[in-house]
Amino acid sequence: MAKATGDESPADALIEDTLIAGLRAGDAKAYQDAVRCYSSVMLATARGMLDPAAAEDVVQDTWLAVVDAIHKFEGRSSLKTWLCTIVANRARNRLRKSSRETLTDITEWLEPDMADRFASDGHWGQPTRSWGHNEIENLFEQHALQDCLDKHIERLPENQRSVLTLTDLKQLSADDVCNILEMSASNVRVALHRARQRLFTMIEGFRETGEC
Amino acid sequence: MLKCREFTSLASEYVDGQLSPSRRFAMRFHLLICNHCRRFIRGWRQTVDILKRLERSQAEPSESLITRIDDALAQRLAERTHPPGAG
Repeated sequence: MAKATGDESPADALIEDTLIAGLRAGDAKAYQDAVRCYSSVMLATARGMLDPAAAEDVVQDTWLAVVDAIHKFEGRSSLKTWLCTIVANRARNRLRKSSRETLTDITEWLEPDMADRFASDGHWGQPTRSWGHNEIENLFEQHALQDCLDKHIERLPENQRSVLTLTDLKQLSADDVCNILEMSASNVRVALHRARQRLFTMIEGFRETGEC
Repeated sequence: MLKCREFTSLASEYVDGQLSPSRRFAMRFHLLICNHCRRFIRGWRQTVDILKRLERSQAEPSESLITRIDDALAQRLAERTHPPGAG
């Protein structure tokens, strides 16, 4: 079974219905298929908030919880959104227990590094250098840039990392991201924009120095 | 009239197609007159495109995790079918 992505077709919905029926019946094969289909996006959801080992634990615990909880699934969201919401709730609980939850100011649209580049009249003080067509495309072929992006995504504040992972990397819809992360649409937009700014600034530095 | 700082603040919503028609028009008009923001938005689009194609290696479940989940689920399902102590 293919991994779940952001845009599902009617055929996917049919497959999902069959899968849900199998899960409700306790069919082991249905569970194996579902694990292979949805664990990637579930792990991405957990990794937005937790370290790798804790994220894996949360995904495993969620699957075990699904055995009992699938009977309560009413189909008001997709199975994928429902699973990711359980993962996000469990990850959030872990964060609260470890007091690691960080609240970031998400009312300001610009990251400090970006905001500092503007003069007091609102125009660029330190404009970006010229970007060639497909310049990043060529850089992207080098694994060094991908590794560097991975590293910097890891360093993003939790809410930015969660939103960026689900929106850009896993390409879930804005509604799904809001539901899964229990964030307002405007907070999701600000967090996404700020995460992209940090990575834009990182790529700018990488273009100039070739170093991460 | 939009300033460059506002233009930059709205860049994600602009490339994601989430702006109202009037805001979108204001962004396009600003692009006509501002060379710095034309450069910026070119880099911004490339950045967003790359992020959408980025496979985050550490976010993919490993084979060992999948096996671990399969095993744990098989045990849980067996317990539901034949609860311990049910004879």
